[in-house]
Amino acid sequence: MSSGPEGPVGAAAPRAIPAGSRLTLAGRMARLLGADPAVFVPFMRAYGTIVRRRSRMRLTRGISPKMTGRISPFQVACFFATLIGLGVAAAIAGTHPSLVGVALALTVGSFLVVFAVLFDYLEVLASPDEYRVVAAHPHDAWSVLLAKIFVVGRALVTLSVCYYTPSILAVGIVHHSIVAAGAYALGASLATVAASLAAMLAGIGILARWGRVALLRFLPAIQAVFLVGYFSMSMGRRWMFASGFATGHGLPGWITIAPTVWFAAPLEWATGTAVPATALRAALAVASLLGLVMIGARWGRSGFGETLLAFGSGPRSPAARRQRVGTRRRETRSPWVRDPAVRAFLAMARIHARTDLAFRSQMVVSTLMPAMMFLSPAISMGSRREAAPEITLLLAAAAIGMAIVSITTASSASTKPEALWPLLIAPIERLRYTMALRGILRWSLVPPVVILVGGWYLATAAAVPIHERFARVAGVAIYLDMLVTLQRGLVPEMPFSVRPNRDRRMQWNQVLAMLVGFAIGGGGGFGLFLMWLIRGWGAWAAVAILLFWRFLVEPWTRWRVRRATAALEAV
Amino acid sequence: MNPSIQIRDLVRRYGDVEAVRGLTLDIAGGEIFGLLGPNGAGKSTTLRVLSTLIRPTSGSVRVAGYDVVAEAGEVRRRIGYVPEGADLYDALTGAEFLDLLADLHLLGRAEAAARSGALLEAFALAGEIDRPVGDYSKGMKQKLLLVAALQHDPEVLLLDEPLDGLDVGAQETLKGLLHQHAAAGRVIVYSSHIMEVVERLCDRVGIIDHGRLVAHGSPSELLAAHPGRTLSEIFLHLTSAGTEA
Repeated sequence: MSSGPEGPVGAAAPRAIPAGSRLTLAGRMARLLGADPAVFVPFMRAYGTIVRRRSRMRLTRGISPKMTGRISPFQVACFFATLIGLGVAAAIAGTHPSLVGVALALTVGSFLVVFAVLFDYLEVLASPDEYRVVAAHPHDAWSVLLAKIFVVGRALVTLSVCYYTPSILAVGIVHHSIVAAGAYALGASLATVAASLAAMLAGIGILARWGRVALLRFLPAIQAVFLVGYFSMSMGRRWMFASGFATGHGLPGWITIAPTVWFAAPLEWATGTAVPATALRAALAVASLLGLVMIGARWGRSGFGETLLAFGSGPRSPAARRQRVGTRRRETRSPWVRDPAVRAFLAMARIHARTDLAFRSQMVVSTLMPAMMFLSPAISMGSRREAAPEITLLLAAAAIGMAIVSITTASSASTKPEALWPLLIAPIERLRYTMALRGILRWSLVPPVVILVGGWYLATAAAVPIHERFARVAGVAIYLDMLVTLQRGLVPEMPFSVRPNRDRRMQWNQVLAMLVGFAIGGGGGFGLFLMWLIRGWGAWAAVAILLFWRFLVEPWTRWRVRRATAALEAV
Repeated sequence: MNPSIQIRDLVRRYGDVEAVRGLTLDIAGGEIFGLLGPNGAGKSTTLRVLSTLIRPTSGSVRVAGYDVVAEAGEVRRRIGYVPEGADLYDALTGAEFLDLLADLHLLGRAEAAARSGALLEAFALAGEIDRPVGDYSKGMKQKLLLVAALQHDPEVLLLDEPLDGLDVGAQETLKGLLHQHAAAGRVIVYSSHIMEVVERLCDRVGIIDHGRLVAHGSPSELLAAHPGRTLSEIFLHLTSAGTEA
């Protein structure tokens, strides 16, 4: 295989395997495909080990290695894929028509594959540092690329089998037909191949063309699309059926806009639920697969394997450097923020938002999950006007509470906590830096919900006396403010100082502190609950209880944060 | 075939940037050749061309008698390369990483274990070899890269800042190994910023600036050509580093 004039050096001729060595089946297959077994087999073995040992998908995040013992991260990922598969199998069995559940299963399965490729395997497929290490050793790009594709493909097939097996069984049982199960399995297989190819080509293309930073910016967008799609489909099912999403036994024509649903066509034909749009969907499925295979083959023929291995090995062009400097200059401090501790926190958050994939993903989830949690039930209960203002106010409080908890936790972790040292030696008080997020959340999340949802509640809850309405809105505001402080106390570590997958074993004093925290939080929640129980002016008594708890939280949180920062110094 | 390096009119461009401009150089067998130059002078690019990582834009380069473009495979079988600041596969253990590279060089397991074992002992890394590379310190990673570059006993050794991160003991071990390697007729190209080490270790030195060779010769020849100056002062005098300073 050759490469362009700017590319790396070309391939070596296949070498003879030493006498006495026997070729494995994989080695023989590699030779058939034009690869050098002496290169393919060692790389296949090494990449296989890497894939087994690393899994950064959310499926396994937060699970301590000590909890899983000798089970590899990949096996844990397979276990969770099976659990999700059982969930969608239940959706297929419980949805009428079951094709809606199948559409959901194919969509979730395809995203699972895309996430696996982009989050877990992309560094196997395209690592910017790899070429500097292996290039000087005997190899050829095609053999290395084939080893990558083989190992990643094998992992994706295993994950997909774990995920799809329950739903294949569910389809067979629901339709009392082995043919239906087989047709669904065929569609699922094709969807897996298409999603894998699309993710590999898109991920590698982005990495090779725009670099790692571009990919880091791109991944949370995929995650956001998935979350919105998933919640829209699973939580808005009532709306979908009410609005004629699925009539009779077939899928509507407009759903053809979702590529994952194209692969339901074999099942539609097998179960006699095909509609005129089914043929179009099947044609699109075949065309997309062929297109992806053709793009992959074309990249392979044009020496893409070598380009892929070598990307990032040259210096940045002066134009790109100038652009980067310009970007940095534009991102200097905001004139609105005067507190150096808050500025430091925002600077660290900005750095992590640009470079830390785990932080970006967590922030996407922290924003979207509460929004979907609030919007979906709020929309679906819109017809029950009497209960709507009350429940909407509580839903908004719950959603903002969830965002507070999630954002505080996400901001504590960093995949590179050792990079915090410039801040640790800066003249910024660590307590103020740690507490900075509280101020940011307090002023960015609580007032909007109080003003918008609270204002709407005051205007629409006509059945409740006006002073009680004010009491409830005030109670929600105090509760959320307390939650911001309480969560800081529960997660008192300095922002971006904790590794995400650290060993989470706690000392007894930490357990005690958590219990105290939960007791305080529970007391506040009880105060909020009282406001809905006590009628008349008594609601203001509940507000007083909430205020009391609110001021109780403050010293406890400061004590916890002080201890955490002192412990950091001890390390 | 006599191990040697022949570089003729080497030019290497990255887009608009010309990193190496018409470099011509011969390095004979048994020689430790020091490559000196300020940041961005083209040292690492030259080593990348020699190690077949990148191809020259123009000119010809032969390593151990083989052309780095037309006979890259032959070159790769004969070289050992330590890149500057390279990351390794964090999920593999040190032993698994060495096995991967030994397999690529078609070394038998016993032969590879014997060769790497001695090197690991010399660099005091034998006790850490079953730990994941992700847990290694910078110095340990550098030692692993050195063992990986040496375990197949290469005819040509290309080292880019090899002392980076090494403790004093490992530095001395490496210097001893390099002397042994050169005494066995091997070629070593040694790129560094540390003048004292280059002066004491290398038989000949080439100073590169803006992609061009501005001086070369043995340290004593360079010192004789610029009386009253140390090697550092000669370096500053000849390169843009001196102008900028």
